Amino acid sequence: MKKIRVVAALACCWTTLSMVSCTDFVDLKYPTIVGQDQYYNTQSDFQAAVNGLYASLRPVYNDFHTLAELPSDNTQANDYTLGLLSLDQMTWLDNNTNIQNLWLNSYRVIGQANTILARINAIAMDENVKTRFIAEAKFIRALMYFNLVRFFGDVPLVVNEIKTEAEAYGYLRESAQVVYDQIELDLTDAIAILPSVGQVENDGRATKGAAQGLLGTVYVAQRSFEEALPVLTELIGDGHYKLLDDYEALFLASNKNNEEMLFSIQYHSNGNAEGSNFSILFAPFGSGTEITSGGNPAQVNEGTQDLWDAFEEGDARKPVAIAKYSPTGVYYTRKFLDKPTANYEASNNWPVLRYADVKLLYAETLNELGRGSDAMDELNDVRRRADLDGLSGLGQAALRDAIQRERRVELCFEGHRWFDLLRTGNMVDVMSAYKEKGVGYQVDSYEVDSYKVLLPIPFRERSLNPKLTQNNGYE
Amino acid sequence: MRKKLFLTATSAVLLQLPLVGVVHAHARSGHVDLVWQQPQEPVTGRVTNEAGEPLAGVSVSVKGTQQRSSTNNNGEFQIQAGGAADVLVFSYVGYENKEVSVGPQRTVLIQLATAETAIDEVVVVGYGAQSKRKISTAVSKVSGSSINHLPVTTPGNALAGMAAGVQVQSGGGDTPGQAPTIRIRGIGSLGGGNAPLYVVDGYPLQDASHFSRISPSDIESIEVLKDAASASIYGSRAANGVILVTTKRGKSGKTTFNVNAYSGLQQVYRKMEMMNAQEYLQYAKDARNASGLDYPDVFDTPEQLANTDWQDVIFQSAPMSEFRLQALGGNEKVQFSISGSYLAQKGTLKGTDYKLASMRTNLDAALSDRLKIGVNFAPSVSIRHQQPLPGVSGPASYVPVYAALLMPPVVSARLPNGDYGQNNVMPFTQYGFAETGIHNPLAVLELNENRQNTLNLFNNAYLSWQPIDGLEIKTQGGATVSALTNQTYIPSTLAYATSPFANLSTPSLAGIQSQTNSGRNIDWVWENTATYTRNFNDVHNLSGLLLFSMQKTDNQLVASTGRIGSFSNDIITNPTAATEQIGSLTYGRSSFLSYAARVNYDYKDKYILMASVRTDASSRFGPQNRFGVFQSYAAAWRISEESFMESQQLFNELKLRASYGETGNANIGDNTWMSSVIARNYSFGDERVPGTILQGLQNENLTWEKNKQVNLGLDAAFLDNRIYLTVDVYRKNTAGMLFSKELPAIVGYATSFYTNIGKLQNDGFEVDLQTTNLKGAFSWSTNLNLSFNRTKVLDLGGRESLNALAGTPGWPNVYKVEVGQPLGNMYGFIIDGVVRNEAQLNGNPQWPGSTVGSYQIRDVDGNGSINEGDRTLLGNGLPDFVYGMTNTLAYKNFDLSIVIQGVLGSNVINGASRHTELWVGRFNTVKGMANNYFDPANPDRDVKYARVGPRTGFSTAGELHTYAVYNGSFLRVRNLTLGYNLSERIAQKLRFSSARIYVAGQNLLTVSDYPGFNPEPSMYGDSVYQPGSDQGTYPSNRSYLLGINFGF
Repeated sequence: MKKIRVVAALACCWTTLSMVSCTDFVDLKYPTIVGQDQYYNTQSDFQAAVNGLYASLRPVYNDFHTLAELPSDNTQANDYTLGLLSLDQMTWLDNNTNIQNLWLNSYRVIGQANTILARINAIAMDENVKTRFIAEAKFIRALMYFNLVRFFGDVPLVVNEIKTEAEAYGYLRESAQVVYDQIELDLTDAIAILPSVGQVENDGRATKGAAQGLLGTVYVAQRSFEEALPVLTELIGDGHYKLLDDYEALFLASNKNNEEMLFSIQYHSNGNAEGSNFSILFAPFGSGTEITSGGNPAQVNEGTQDLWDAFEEGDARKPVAIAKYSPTGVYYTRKFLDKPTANYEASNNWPVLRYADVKLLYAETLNELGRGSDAMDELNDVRRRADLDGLSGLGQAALRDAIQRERRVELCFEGHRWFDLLRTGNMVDVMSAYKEKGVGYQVDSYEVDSYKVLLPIPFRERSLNPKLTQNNGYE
Repeated sequence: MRKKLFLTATSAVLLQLPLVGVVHAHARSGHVDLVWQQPQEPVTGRVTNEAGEPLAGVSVSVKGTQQRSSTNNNGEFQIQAGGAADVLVFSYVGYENKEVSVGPQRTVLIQLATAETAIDEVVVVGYGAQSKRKISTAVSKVSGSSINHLPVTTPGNALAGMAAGVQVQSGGGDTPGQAPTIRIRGIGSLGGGNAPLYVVDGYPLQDASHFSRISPSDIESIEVLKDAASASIYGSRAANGVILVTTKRGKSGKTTFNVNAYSGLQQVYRKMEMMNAQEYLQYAKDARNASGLDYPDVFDTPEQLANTDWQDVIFQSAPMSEFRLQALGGNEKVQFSISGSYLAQKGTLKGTDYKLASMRTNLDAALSDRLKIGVNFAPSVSIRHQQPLPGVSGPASYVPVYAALLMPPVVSARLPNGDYGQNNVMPFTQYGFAETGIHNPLAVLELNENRQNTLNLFNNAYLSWQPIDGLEIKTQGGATVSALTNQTYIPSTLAYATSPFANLSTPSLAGIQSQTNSGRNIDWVWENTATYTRNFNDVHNLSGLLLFSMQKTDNQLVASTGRIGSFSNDIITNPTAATEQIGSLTYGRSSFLSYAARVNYDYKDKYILMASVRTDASSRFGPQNRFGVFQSYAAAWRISEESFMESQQLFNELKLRASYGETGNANIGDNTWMSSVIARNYSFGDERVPGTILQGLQNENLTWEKNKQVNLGLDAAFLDNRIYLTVDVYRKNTAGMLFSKELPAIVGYATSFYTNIGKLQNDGFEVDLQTTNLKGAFSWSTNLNLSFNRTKVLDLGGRESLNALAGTPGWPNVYKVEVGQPLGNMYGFIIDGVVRNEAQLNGNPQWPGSTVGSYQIRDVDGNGSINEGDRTLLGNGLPDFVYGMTNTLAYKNFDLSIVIQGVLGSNVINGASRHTELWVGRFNTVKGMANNYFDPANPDRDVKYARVGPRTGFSTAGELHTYAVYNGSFLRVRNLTLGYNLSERIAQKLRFSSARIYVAGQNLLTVSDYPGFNPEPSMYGDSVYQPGSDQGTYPSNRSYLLGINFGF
């Protein structure tokens, strides 16, 4: 009897153990997760990946104004949003959150582009579609490197998909020239393939015109006017874009991707936080639902008195570009008006490149190449749209200043001013003069210095990889 | 008559078998009886406990002989014994030994009394139970009797101060229904969770909420497995220690009912000292004047303004009550324990409450001598209302506790027309004065709805079979199910994002927000054990355990949100009122497969050895590295059993213990090792298109975090067991930490990934002292425990430090994790008063932009300028010492118990001071700042704060500084209960078997330097990176309760 029980007991144990296959039980399928090995195999996978690549631009431009406008004389911080103070006053340190996020978000886009470019060649799909995907990825990668090289100077240049942790430490800062070479190469490739607005609808995808405009900007930024000239000439000559008569209509959420827009970041209000937040961010404190809606007006990019004064009498652009909120006397822009239901639910696009910008770059190029009167024509096109009289008879230096003044008012709040100051080498002079005037939020505390033309390499990156060098002045 | 017959019969046998008799009693008397005794019928009998329930396995021996036997499942035994004068000795773990003479009947009924000395306690260990004598590892036991009576809403709260090495922190104050953070022996992981594993009646919980819903009255005991050797049998989930909960089970005998009901009031323990209207107006005017800005005209006619104490507005005296009923009983075959309880707690913050109804049924049945089955079934339902708090989603400006601090006292709580007073309207917005982001906190508390309904089911059943004596085969299966619905609603009348001016009289559909989340978590476990126990030659005790276990969890969460702006009515208060609904679905899954074995051996209860090994595999780890092996060894030497100790009188028990063990941590989330493709949709024009991005660096080698712990311990009982001392010293080394390692941003698709790197060390000691100070009519016993733990980072995978984290939002780079340093270090700047004059300004290094009236920041690194290098260590958020003391006193019918608990050596960051000690005038400010800031007209006045008005130089809102860091040590009288037992005579007249009334006070006194609402706040929940940070967390309460407790 006892033996039988022992045998029965052993049988129980055996049956129990043999019921399970160990590896299967701990190898689970997750119903909502797509593994990377299952993806990047078909045309539709890459279609979605390219869409996702565009989508990853949004985080870069959501806060672009904090670095491309706030340090300049166009806009200023306030004592409500103290985190932005150091950006306004040029007292930023290498641990600044906005600087770090710019770096992170830009490389995030580059990483997605690299993944697409590294994997797409091996996949069978419609060749025309494939080459366009490649061109779009290159355009976007070039745009990101262009921002990085202007903000940081030398930066790590990654054009392959990084697969392991060790690889990531192999990249150090490349000279700005090498980065510019890659940008030019990518854009030249893109121009060769991307369709023109004439061939396709301008819906926010990268087009030939966008790539030409960007390449022109890239050359102008390097003061390579000789190279810029043919690119911009061809772009303007193609005639796919024009200045809208109505400056206000340019920016309307209901008039996205209009004929003046070469490339803008697309935002869409659909309840999933895929919209923009500029209307809330730029509206003055205390304005409630008067100007915007859906969140607390944040006044993070307040216009300066200096910018207000920079508009000429009768400039039709002024009421759109800058307005005064009478209860508090705060200047704010009306370029991004919407009444969203919540944060990141507005429909306003962010213009990256528009025709007026191109025209003024072209004017600048012509002027620098000694074609002052041609340059004046381009400048006056832009002025006339603003109901301003055309300029005439200016010498090269005077015209240079006039173009920059025009760029300042035409493109204010759109993320150009700081780059223009850097590109023209005027940053220290202009900002010192602005500080001297003593008008504006705590301008006394501005620390204008020539080394501020470059931002510090973020602390996070250098603490991870101490081999990354720091820009001058930040050690 | 019968006696005579018996004697006759025995003398007859004596003549026939003269040599078979047993010579007895010679050992005792020292001489040999000359009487040859005849063999007799065996003595029979039955052994029960005090409740009359049979005790199986009781050792029975005849004193001075080798005769031994033990009781069967019915408590019955047989033993060969001699004459009536023979003494039978009964011994059983957890009960007092008993000696009785055989007596003439040769049948004895024995009732064993539960042992009162700590040394005889039975201690539940993983997959078994042991006498405390034989424990060779570090296990703390909290008996049910010390927590059953506590008026707490979760059993975790009852553990505070009860056991050495166990820290219970209510980082969220007394939020109704909130379980505290429990940590055993410090912090073992930077990347994985640090919560212990909870095992309830043998069920290892994957969802700790099932533990939090056990009524403290239902708990028979809680054992805490602290060292790795004791916890190792739970393998990959045991790295943070294991808490074993045993619930009360039925006993055969008369059914007993016990009713416990209490009711009382709770109040906020401490308010923060804020300015009143008069002080505020002065400060606001000074600030505006200094900035050259106007303040609202109405500020010059203060009689037209309110003087609101916003803390009085949002806090309330809140009732709390609980009713618990318990029935225990059964017969020899079937025993039951059924209990039910209902708890209702209103929060001291208006608009918060918690109600919990729970039931527990434990049933055991003996199907035969060798077959037993049992079931536990515990359903519970709860409803909880919450309000926006740090950690609960929602914008910070709507956190009512915080808003109440910042809202100027000149704003009225309610207006004459019944509307809520707001700050974002005239006259306060005149000249752009008011801070429009803060809203009336009372409106939020009264109108905002955040309700959570939870249904929990805990089911567990076992079948146990003893095929042969000493061998038990047990199979146990169980499932836990929880279903929760979380409903949030912001009505049209509450001022919110899209409707900042909404009020009762001006509702706005545009402001409505609503979300419904519905989740269900299912977990099942199947565990099979075989245990064999045998004694060899009366000196070798051996037992072995084999385990096979499977466990699987499947969670799902479905959410529906009404799109803001699309609500068509304010009658239906859920997302269906919206014309557009947005949905989401998330899943979580994991599985564990385990094998384990353990051997316990002891020689004469003197030399004790234990070894165990467990193998776990889990879906949570990379396919290349799924299996982990965890082993442990322990030994103990009971010196007091040695012959050379026989002559001494001091020690009743003296035991040395040593153990080594390995455990693992699997708390890293379900598919952390995977890289995946996730949605990032875009739009072209107004056409939305699906998009994807690659996210995460895949790590197929991701595996268990290994924890190795050495423990040395001493158990000693002195002075007739009146003092029982336990001391443990340990070192816990965590290697291959499950750790989110940061990646250079250039990787692009990942900024960090989970890997096994880094080393962390915890060193500590624990002292637990139980003393019986007085016995008799006036009795007094004390249980004191003290533990010290220091966490040290040994390695961060090659890096010297991790990127610093914020102290609170707005104070960056505060918490640093650095090699060679403890966790929880807080870094900031030292304020050396205020810059009084130009000479001081120019004569000292200054923060950029400083002027006269700015803060003087200390040049810590002495390099002549103030910059990031001057950031220095200001404190540490983790305590060095955690202690608790329970005193239990009784005199005649009165009993008194006092639980004191506290921590030493921690710091707290007062994050609220970012705004409550500001300079701009728009927020209300601490009372201590009134007339205590730099006055340019009177620069030499001794003031604490910099000038108000324009901010230049160091910003207290931008960087952590010395003013905001406080000593976090505290001592709290956590519970004081005074009871009166009605005399038996009166109780029985009332037809009760016992009756007691009691008054209890919770948190009657907290001694602490910290001026905030809670001395142990944690706005980042149980984060090990950012401990001790506060910004509008829920307050601690003080409560007074009256209760009755009776049995029948």
